[in-house]
Amino acid sequence: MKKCEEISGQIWPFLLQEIDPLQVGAVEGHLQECVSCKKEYEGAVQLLSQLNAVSQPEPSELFFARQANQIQQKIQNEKSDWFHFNPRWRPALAAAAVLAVFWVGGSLFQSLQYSTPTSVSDQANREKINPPSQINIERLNAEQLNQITEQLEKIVFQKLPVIEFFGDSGDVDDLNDQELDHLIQDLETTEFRRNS
Amino acid sequence: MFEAESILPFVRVTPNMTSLNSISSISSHEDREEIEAVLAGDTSAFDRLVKKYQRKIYYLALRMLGNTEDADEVTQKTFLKGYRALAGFRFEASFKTWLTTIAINLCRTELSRRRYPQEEISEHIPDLSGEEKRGEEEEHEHRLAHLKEVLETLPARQKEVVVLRIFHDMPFKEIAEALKSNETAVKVNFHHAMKGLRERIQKRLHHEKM
Repeated sequence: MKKCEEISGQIWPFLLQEIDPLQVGAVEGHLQECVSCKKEYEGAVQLLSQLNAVSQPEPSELFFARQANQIQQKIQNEKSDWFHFNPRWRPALAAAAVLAVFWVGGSLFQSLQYSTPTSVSDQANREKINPPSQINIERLNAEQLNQITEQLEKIVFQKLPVIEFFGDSGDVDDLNDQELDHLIQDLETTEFRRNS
Repeated sequence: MFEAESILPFVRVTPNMTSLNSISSISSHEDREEIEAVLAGDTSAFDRLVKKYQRKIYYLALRMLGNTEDADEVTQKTFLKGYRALAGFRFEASFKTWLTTIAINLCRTELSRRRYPQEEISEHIPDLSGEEKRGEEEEHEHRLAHLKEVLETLPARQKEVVVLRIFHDMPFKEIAEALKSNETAVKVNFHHAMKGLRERIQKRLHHEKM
């Protein structure tokens, strides 16, 4: 019985000559012996002959000539379009387009990220992650020290309160008593403002 | 007694697998030159490919769609799509198989656009019992027309396999390549399709006798 099931699956490949040549003998032998499988085979032959007889409209040569012409025309139209210029360029153009999109997208993302105002906590976190680099002063030469001093002065003076009056020379030693009193008063007021 | 010789005359005269494969490889080798010429900008080479395969694609589409206008449109679209995608063709399958895949996909799109009510059709058996008796020739024509109708009732994948194997003369291996399937699945589909066709035909004969 199992043999019949196996052969049943081989009948169409056998009929269409797509069977493993080593199995041809086995199928032929079984068909000679088994009435049921022989009947199935004959049915398959009949169906195949009917299928082969199923006709369909046969167009004229003119139809195919016109069709080929239309295809050619459409291809010519595409060729005149710069993008469809040559099929060989299409993958390259597509890859270039993808790269361009990523590049523009990446640039936009980067600029948006840096232009976004950050909160105080974000900034603090960032400083924790990337602490300011430490400088070993002992290893610096005179010129480097001068540069750092200048920069530090700038930073310090930017943060110090601006004193409107500081005398003509700008030196505290040249101030008279009245000017000194005025300066002390100014400093006290500023300090008071800072504390408050 | 059932002799082996009595089987052989019934066997359809088709090239065996080895010769089919060798034809396919020769064909794809020939096509390589044409394809490379097209990629180099020679559109007349593509025209030669069109003329070589347009009939096969047209008849395949006609079998699948059953309509000359749609078959014509699908054939033209197949070649246009093929031209556009030619740079991506890797010669893994033959050019014919590759075109067949495109054509089958376009036919599927067309069929889904039409939205055939497959389930309803599959159970539909034309009622011809009331028609007057025909002559032998008429009867033959009638049976073929019925077979054509029954073919339409097959599930889509089974119909594709039958059309490609019987009408398009493609070996199962190439059908598997064209349908992005495997050979065993294709053979199983074909077997079920043939079984289904025979059952439907017998049902119809039984219906007519009653």
